[in-house]
Amino acid sequence: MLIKPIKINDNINTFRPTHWQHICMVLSLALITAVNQASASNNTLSNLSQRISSKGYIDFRWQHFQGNNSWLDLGTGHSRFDNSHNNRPLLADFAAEIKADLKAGSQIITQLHAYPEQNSALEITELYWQYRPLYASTMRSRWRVGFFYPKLSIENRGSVWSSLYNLNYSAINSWIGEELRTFGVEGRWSWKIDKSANEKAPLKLNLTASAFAYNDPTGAILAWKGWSNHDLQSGINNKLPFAAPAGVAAADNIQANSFQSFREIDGRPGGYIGLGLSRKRSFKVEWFHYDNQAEDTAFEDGHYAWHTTFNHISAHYFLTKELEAFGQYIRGRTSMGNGFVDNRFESAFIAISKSQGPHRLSARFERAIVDDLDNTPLDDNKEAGNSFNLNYSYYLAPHWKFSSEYQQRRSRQARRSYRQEPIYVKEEQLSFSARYYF
Amino acid sequence: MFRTPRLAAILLSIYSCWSFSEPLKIQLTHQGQLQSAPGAVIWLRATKPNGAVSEEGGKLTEQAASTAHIIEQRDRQFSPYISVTQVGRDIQFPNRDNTAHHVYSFSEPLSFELPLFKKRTPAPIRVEKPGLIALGCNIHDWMIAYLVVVDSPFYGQLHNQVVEFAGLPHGEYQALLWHPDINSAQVLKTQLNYQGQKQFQWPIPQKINAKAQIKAPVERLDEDDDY
Repeated sequence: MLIKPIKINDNINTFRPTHWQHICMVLSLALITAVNQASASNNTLSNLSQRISSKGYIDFRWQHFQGNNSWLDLGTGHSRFDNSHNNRPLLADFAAEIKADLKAGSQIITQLHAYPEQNSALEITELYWQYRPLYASTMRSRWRVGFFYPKLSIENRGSVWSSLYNLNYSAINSWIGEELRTFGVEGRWSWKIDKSANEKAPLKLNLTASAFAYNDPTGAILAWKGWSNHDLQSGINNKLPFAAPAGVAAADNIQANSFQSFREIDGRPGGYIGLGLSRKRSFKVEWFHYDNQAEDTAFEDGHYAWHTTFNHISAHYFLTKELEAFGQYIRGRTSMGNGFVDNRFESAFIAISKSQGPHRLSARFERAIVDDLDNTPLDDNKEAGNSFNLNYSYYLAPHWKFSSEYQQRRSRQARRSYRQEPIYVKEEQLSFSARYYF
Repeated sequence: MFRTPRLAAILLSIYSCWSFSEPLKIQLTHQGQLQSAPGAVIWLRATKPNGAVSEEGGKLTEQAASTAHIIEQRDRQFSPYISVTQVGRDIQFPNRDNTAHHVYSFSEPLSFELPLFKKRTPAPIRVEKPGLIALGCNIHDWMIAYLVVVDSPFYGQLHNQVVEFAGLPHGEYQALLWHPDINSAQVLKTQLNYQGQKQFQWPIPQKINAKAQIKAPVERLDEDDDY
């Protein structure tokens, strides 16, 4: 990817708070609302221990990888761990979710991850206020304000947004973990369609709508390095590595040597809308349309705004109580610099998972492609890859889960040729994990 | 010498008490077959000689007035599923779980919402009106429980296909029956003339198919509970 030298978009020049001023403003607003709610209730912040609960896990990993160096180490490989992590014990993830109950239906939820192997600090992957008001009708609603995942993933229904089925997430969910988050407000409304109020698992119609900011650079990482399979989740202050191609060094507006996904650059809010049907433990199908509405010529402080829009469809079906089939499909477009970089991205996976007592066996097949629609020379983002993941896990209730996983990815990616590497690479990874859940 | 007559007198009085206080057993039948509906609530309201139901209701016993009727949240479900109490009694919802609940009712006799943080027992609530209270949890939507509030001291619940009423004064009664799976959750009524009989078989128009309380999904630490 080359970065075209363009002028700073200075249409909005009255008051331009910095990135962190913005974040502080939104979070303070969420906190003030939340604390107001708490003090309005009869019980204020007494009995704090009854109001705060936490859960999470520590993941001990051993893995063997064969393929290109990780993109986290500026390589063209698509995994998180590469052969520099081979054959030694790894502390893969420390994850925690802390919930503070403010009043009935009102909570502050924080999710944290620490990845000592990536030398990162504590990543705040979610921090938001959630409110479920109570209505006499069969409609239920949920409001979220702050920094949180849009609920697109079927896989990541494990603790602290981990995958319940695999160690390495699918390409779609790996990307969501890298650079997609809602920094704003989201409402979700669920209507029970079944007439019987006594129904164990009623059929529900679900509508989701959101307005957000601070997701302008979303799309940059996907354009630069393509799709991946890993389990790294970006925090609110993430900095993911970027190596400028030769042409970029000469540009006036130089992309910083890291990507910060959660920034507001153009002052324009984005939004998404979702519509679906679900019946608990039976099936779920949902469609989302996402558009960050970024002004794709905007640039600030080393970071470009990327106009990213996509449609996402997810489906989850329980064939029996213990046999599940599920999948996700995404198709979208991301562009910057007035069409200087213009990519269409598309990925789909289908997975099947069978559990029997403490055992679970899951298999996932996926395809992930990026089509380069621009004519910019020496910046071909084209990629096409297939992955396969097979995972077996044993749950030693209630605290331990042991997993073994084979992940294979075969991909052709044009950008490898600029580094005199073969375009086609087959990456293989064997992982063993012992997770302690608390 | 005194002992034998005294012992005989005691035995006689125990026997007479026992024989006089033999409870009335009410059973539900359909086409001659006994019906099972665990927890079904039956209550009896005295009727006046002209057939009208006595509005006096019945005062709470001292014990009922001084203790609360308890509906627990345990293992992410209500316990008991169906219960009955008298008007004027305090109701308490202790949370025995290590997770928060948000208990509510929109029912006419008692409309409320209670934030129940983990392991917390909130202050009791008094029910002032008779009727059915349907309870739910806004966090765990499978959690459902029913509390029938009656204006009579004579009430019980079906257990092993029978409800027993001990110490019931002779007279005319209106018998009432409620269960979520009987008569589309509407109260069934019948007349009962109690003159010391041991048994009353209540014919129900339809065969009863009583469902058990919904079990909470198994809680696992590796799963997010908000999926």
